[in-house]
Amino acid sequence: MTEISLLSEAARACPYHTYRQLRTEDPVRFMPDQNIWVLSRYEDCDYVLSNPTRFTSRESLSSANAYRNCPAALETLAKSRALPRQRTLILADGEAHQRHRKAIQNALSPARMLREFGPSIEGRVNQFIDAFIGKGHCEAISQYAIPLPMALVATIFDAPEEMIPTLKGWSDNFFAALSGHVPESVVIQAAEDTLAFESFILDRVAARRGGDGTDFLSRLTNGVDGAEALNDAEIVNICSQILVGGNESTISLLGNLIYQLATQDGLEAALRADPDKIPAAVEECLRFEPPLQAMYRITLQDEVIGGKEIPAGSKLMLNFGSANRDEKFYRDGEHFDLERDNTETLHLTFGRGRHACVGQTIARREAVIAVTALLDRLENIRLVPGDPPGRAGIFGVRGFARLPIAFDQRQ
Amino acid sequence: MVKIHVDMSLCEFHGQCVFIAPKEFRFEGDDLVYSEEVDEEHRARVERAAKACPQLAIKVE
Ligand code: HEM
Ligand code: SF4
Repeated sequence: MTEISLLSEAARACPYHTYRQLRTEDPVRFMPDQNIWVLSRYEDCDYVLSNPTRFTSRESLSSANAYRNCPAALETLAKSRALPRQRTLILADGEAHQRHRKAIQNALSPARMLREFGPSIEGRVNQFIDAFIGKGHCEAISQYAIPLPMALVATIFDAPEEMIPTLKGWSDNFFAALSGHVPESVVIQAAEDTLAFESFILDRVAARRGGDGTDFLSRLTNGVDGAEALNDAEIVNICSQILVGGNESTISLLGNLIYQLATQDGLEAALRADPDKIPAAVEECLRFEPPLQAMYRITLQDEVIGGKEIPAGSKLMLNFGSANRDEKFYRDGEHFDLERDNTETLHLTFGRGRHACVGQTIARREAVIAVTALLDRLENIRLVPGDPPGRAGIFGVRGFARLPIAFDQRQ
Repeated sequence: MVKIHVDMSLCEFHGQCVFIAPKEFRFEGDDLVYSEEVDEEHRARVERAAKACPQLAIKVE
């Protein structure tokens, strides 16, 4: 196959054409410009996710380690209060991962989270809509997609409402630095924000240590209901994973859903006629446009995948954006189809196996509530001529930075 | 016959099993209820449900 790069402008604007080319012509391909092997078939991604002892997660989140090449950022990080830094949860393997996973599963149990916060989410989304409905238009990312997951993250950390803009600022910088391929100034800022975030969390942890609270941070700090207590570094790292993971990917999901509503003829009407299909629309949107287009692993030994010899220590990009459209498993996978039976082949958008997303049920519920409220109160949702949507510029993220929409108010 | 066992100490009620295999798994109030034995013809669906469980709580024999 000829020159092909995921970093080209065209691929960053819309990667799916490049994915199809990779999947059909060279599904396990070494990309010299990123020093990474890209796995574009469903079965190969599934195999790697399902074999965590052969493929380490120690750099699961990033295609390029931005901090490593930035001495100023490393110097800042060395001032951390939560040393030694250690690989936690999404970046951990084996026993350490199991320990973190047990604690987070307990602290983020969807049954309890949704029982405690479900009703308040519904109230919140209606307040967000109240703020813009009279105008007939809004910028859906800043006025709807961001406030909802941010409110939930603030609730998880028991942070006051006024902290939300600060939390979002931290989250933006962490996320940008993680993805790599960003200017050095962003990496330096992210390192400084890491220290500020750490203090924010550790102060809250200190206030809870030894107490009998049952909120998220108390559970991680003291261990509740049989889950082990974690140390400061572990708690800070898990919280930053929640801040970024619980947030940015859900924002992208909500934006992608609103974009589908605004651009797909008949979708709005079909869902209004049969609201029971809203979860199916969410599931199809998750398959069609995974907010995180890939996760990463490193080979621990020499491997042969798809007939290619891959040496130990190689970085793999598990291309979910491509796997979710793999012709072998999805008929007409390049199209959004509300009627698709997504139980046949479950998309890889939340990963799978030991590291499968612990927030997936919460994210799905947030999305269903958000879409239900929109359809309830707005109709004829459409893009705004002359004010087109703007894509999020972060490598590996599929979502919008801006999404202006217009609508009619339902009576 | 296909034997199904859910380790309830692991289950956190994500409901992925109910989504994928509603004939074999369902919620009743706050409880997850499932068929312990189902016909061989449903094996593929039950195995997909086990794979989808974020807690890896479902064992299929
Ligand atoms: C649409 C929204 C979301 C998407 C697309 C998403 C995606 C993912 C993916 C792909 C993984 C697997 C990582 C791997 O295999 O290396 C993951 C793990 C994780 N997610 Fe999510 N996520 C979402 C929402 C959330 C929410 C709302 C939370 C928390 C409130 C959350 C917390 C986590 C955590 C803590 C992990 C690490 C689990 C582990 O390593 O064992 N995510 N997520
Ligand atoms: S998918 Fe797993 S965790 Fe979720 S309800 Fe079923 S058994 Fe429980």
